[in-house]
Amino acid sequence: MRKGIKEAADETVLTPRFYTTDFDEMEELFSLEKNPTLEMDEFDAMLSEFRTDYNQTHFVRNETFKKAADNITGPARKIFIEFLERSCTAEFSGFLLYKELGRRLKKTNPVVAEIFTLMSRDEARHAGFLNKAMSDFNLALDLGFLTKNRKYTFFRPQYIFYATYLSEKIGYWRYISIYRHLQRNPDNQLYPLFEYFENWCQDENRHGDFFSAILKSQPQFLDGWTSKLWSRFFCLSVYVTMYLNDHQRSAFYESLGLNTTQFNRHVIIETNKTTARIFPEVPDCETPEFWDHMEKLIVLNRKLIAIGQSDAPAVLKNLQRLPVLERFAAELMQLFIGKTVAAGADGVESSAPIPCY
Amino acid sequence: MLVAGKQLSKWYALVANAEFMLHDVQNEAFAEQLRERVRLFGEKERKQDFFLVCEPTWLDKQFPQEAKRVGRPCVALVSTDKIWITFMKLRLDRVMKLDLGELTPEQALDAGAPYPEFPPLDRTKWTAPYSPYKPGWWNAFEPAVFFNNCQ
Repeated sequence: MRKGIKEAADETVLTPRFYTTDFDEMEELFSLEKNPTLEMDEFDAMLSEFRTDYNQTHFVRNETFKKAADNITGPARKIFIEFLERSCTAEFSGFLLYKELGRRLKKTNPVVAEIFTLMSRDEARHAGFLNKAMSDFNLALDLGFLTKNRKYTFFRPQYIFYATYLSEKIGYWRYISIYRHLQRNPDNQLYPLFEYFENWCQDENRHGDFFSAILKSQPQFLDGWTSKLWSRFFCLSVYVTMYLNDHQRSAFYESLGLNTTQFNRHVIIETNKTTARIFPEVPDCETPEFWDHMEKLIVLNRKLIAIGQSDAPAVLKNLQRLPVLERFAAELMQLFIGKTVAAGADGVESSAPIPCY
Repeated sequence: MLVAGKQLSKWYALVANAEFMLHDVQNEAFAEQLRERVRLFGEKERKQDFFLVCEPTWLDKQFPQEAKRVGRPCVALVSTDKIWITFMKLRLDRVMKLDLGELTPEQALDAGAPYPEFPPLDRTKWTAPYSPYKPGWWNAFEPAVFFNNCQ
């Protein structure tokens, strides 16, 4: 590999994923010819919002970036580079998916297609900004290499809608919480990238809104018990993944002056409230039982990591993992069958009623 | 069209109780969005066309039935941009969307009461690792901005 090009981190269950989907089914869902009654008002409103391009002139670097990077040394430097890499990879994977969807839907639904294309513009801008940040650390991600060689996860359109909505909204809450914290504690800001997070967040938030509009245009994905099960499943998958990931990397959040657990709980609680504005059902994240299970998962995850890093033979490691994995699965099941909150968007027939505004 | 020397336009609104619009943790994003839009309008040299109106007088006058479903005191996000209001309904969701019809700015932006004084946020329920925005951020979006620009 060329000098200065960073080899992508090994893929694990928790690594940012690249997605592909059933593009023919996507065309079926959004084709105006096949769905003449598809409600387009909210898509037109979203298109207007994305065409406005609030951030066209905003992701511009200045000379303070390199100086700040040079001041990040030792373990903090390694941790920060990892943060940049994971974030860049995640933005880039969004870019690829949205770009392809924009291309594939162009003839059958030009409005929805253009929205996907404009979202891919935003993600490309974010990925580019992050990759330039990595150059301050004398590194760059080979995005071309990633495109060709990364393993792609197949997700049906319905799952793309749930997963991507959550990914964008939780991205909003993560970045805006970091931004708000650093605005009030400027001494903790390691690197000027975070000054751009407010604008960045609004892009993520709007992307999530578009997936709200998509779900509302496909009420079959918001109605019935299977929709509630999938809603619960995807919420919990995203929350658990983030909680475990971040606690594995708590040094990063502590380096910004954040308490990792407090940060994560806030992000999950608020993401969940936002998600209750569209999903038919969400987990109740504000019960002590919910957080007890989450904490147990952290302990179990640490055991799994320790087993993986030990010098024991592979066969013995697998045996050691079995009881921990069994406990892990049991905790996940407890979360899945835990308390939920009836939810949903205003005006959607299957939603929990909103009696008063 | 002019009526008694006043400019008539079509106005659109989203209405909800003031606690939700201005004081809910979830809707700190609302403050950020409005600031973003003001910044954008500044960059594009566009006149601001959206405002926050506390207890708008048109609510009980024009929409007596709908008004019963709104918690009080209430706040309206009012604009002549129908498309943007459609977007904001999608964003906020728990708001009532109303077409106000043709009104003068004075009618559309007529506040029936000052903004309420909110009690301090209950810190035992505040989960964020930062302090909330200071009350009063909404004053920047009061209708006075519109009338000042007209003089």
